[in-house]
Amino acid sequence: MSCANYLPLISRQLDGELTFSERNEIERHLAGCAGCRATQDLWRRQGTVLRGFLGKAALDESFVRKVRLARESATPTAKPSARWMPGSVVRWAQAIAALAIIAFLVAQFFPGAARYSIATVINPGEGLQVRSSGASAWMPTIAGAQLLAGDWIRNPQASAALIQLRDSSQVTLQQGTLAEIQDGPEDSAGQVLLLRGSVVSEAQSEGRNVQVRTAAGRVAGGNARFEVQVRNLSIPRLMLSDDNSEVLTGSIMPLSGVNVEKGVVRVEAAARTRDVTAGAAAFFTPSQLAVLQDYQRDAQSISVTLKSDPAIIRGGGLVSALLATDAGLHVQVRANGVPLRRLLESTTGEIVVGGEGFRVTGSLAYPVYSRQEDVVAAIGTQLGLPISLKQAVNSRTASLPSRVPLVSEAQPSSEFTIRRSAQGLLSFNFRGVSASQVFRNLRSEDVELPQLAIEDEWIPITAEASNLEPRQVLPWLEKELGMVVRDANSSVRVVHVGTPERGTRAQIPFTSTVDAAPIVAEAQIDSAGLPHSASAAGLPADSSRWWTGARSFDPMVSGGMPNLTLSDGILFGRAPGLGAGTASTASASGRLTGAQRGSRSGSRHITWPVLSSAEIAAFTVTNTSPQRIRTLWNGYDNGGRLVVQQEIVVEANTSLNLVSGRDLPQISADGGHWETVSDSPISGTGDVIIDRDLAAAVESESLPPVWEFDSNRLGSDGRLWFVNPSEEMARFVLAVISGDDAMVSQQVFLAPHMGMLWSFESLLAIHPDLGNVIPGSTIVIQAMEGSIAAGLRANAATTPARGKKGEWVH
Amino acid sequence: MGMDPSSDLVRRCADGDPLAFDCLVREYMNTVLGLAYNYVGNFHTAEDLAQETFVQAFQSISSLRDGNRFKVWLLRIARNKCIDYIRRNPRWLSIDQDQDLHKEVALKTKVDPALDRDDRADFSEADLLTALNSLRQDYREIFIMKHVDNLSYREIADLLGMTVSAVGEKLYRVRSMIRERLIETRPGSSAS
Repeated sequence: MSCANYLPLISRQLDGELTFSERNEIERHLAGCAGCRATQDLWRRQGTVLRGFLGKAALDESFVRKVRLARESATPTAKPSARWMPGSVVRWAQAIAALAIIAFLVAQFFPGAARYSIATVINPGEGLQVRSSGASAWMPTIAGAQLLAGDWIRNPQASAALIQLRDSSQVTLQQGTLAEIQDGPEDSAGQVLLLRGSVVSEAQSEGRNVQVRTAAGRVAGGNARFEVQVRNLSIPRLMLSDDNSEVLTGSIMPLSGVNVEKGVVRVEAAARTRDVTAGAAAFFTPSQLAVLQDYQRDAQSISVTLKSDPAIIRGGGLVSALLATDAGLHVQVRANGVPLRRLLESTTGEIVVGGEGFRVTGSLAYPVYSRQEDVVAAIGTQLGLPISLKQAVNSRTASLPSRVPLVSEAQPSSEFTIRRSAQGLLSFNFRGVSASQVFRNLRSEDVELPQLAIEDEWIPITAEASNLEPRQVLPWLEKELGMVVRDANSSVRVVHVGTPERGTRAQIPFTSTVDAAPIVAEAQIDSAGLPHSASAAGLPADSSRWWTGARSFDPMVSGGMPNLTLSDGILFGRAPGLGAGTASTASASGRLTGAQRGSRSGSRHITWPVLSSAEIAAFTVTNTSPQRIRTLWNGYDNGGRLVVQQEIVVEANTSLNLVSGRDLPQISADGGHWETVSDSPISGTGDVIIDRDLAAAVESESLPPVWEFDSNRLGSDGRLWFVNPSEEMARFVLAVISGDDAMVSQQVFLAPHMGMLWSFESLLAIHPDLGNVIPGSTIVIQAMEGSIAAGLRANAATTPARGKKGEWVH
Repeated sequence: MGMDPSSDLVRRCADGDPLAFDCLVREYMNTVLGLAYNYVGNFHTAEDLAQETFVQAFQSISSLRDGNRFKVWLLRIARNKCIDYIRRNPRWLSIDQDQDLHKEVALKTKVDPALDRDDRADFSEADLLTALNSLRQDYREIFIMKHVDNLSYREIADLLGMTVSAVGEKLYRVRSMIRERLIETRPGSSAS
């Protein structure tokens, strides 16, 4: 018997379907046949892998809730149907057929008394869906399907769908459209209640035979072609307090627009009626109506008088309003020291990437029908920043249960309030706000949320919660709304705020761009890791130059020779006129340990303290990647104010040495700091040249919660520094630990981007007991909220202390 | 055959205990999801169909006389839901069945699969899904019923209207076809 004869048995063996004798037979064969064992293993793994794949999408308890709600809404009595007896099936079928005939006759002779066909699906596009009145689920539809009064239709796909009304008038549903089919007035062929998206109506008959109703009003036309769009307009008000708390309130207003291509349509809104002719457009809310002859031209009339405001680091806010003017409906926003990101979020409702640190003051006004691209570009032009809308990918998608009731009537204006406490806790109250607006407003409070499924964006949400941490909001939504989140990529729009173009000057202090090339010259850096060797050939003999080098210093350099070979580490250069003495000095500055360098893989965020404005500091950034990296250097004073910003490009496989006062401006305050932001990881080291001691470069993309320092290092001249390199308030506890006992502890708050530099004396000022530091004790800094970068600088030669997570500190 | 623990839940549900049905949903939701996914190819729609399946099951559970057969009965509802869905959404009927049949015939003509085997089990999830998706829908279905729904040959036979021996034969054929496709896609293999 060949192996081929055994394979069917192996298959059945895996399924547990063999008889006893068959099982013995196959086991004997498998024991001696490696080929069949391999096949058995492969077949077994087929099932394992498949189960693993499907297991990723495994349903959980939220599905049980969804089913429960669906069956309750499907059967109000929530009880299974009565048991029927054998033989009754035929009678049921007869009864159903009789009812169908009666329903048909009623519909024919008494149109108002029953649901009857209003429209027919001509082309369902890629996925027009229908939800029958009273049903709980959306079903795909096909060409020829009849749409009854009370049926909901939605088109989540990119291709348009086409339906035809009773009088052959046609309505095209664009992507994202959600509408209810309604009977409409007597003189109409049918009515579409448009809740989301846009429809193009091609009315065939005279009169007002195609009616499109929206939450803001009604549009009717006969023998005309017109497009109706609806969207929600957010009118926010944001109050930021000095203690980092804030209140975001606003109303969501339904906005509709009609653009007439042919014929005349009648618009009823805001208790008025206007006829709109071909070529013109009308925009309306429940309280305002404006007719425009050339709205596309007017859409360009965007007014921006914003300027950046580096003086304001906390507080501020914005107010906005919808104004009806001769030029149409305009949104007006007045900002006072509000973060640029918040302004953009309020204006577009989209996620904003970049733009940290900018605050703006001034006003912005734009027509409601302006394209978002044009609005953000106008803001960017005014501020000297490239701002644009881009596509991004969100890898998680959220969907709401279909049991959320559909609204059969237009939604009135809805309102929301979000409060953020000084401790960062969120309380919110949404009343009838569409799910997409709920997501947008919560995202503006730094709540990370998945992308909402397009078909669920319109669902009205009423929700209230108190004192949630931002990370608790998503689980709260899942629990309270039955929201389901799954891994699925979806395309999202984001507002991208770029860095200023090289050589341009933004409105905040912005110095000229430094080109890396002249500084690094021909330095060769080993990109396999951080450099262990470097050679620099052809360096100019200009003694004012600083260059990268090696820890093990070649004396040849002391003579200012243009050619040198260096090894084992990084050299920070030499000062003019210091000669040979500099060589040994620079060598000493190699207290950067191999462990420190080797343990770091780079960071997109580096914090460098400015321990003394009188010192000349050197900052070394190393790009070990094969691509050039743009870095943005934000200089903050000791109050957390952004005082200078500079872009520096670090070429591929290059180490760049920057010197304060030459390549970077001096920050004229002790306790200030630099924060370097880059798109790709870089590594950094710092040095203070004059004092010949080590300053710090903390790779702050991910900071440890605990920092520890040997108290012996503080001494009388040592300085302890802290920086909060984030946008959130940080709170930490400083404690002196001796043995297992905390001798003293002190809670400290640090505002965003604020730094502190403490000497031994300032510690005493904070708490007298801190003067009783026992030699050999440990200074511990424990972050309680947010994160901080910290370091201890001693003038004496020291070794780095180790953070709890293994990061080296100075 | 012992009593299926579901049968007690079915009885309690028919008696009006709403919590009992929740237990049944928990027990079988991923089974139904797997079956529906095989038909529609995306989890979102599969979940919608699973939900509809359970709602219909709840409404007509009183008609189920033998609680021991709940699983097969439930999957039959799910299968009908999926078939309805596919009929209304022809986009899913794009599988080139002729091509599949051609490959099937080619497979059967191999003299002895054991002679030229490369049965290293080092294939990826993507490899398996690609291979599975290249099969005819009814082949995928029986494979999922076995591996995901963990149905016995008897249960599959009841559900699909086949004989027990035909189920075994078909599963063997599906496994062999998947194996062939996995080998074909390996780097350096000469796909036939």
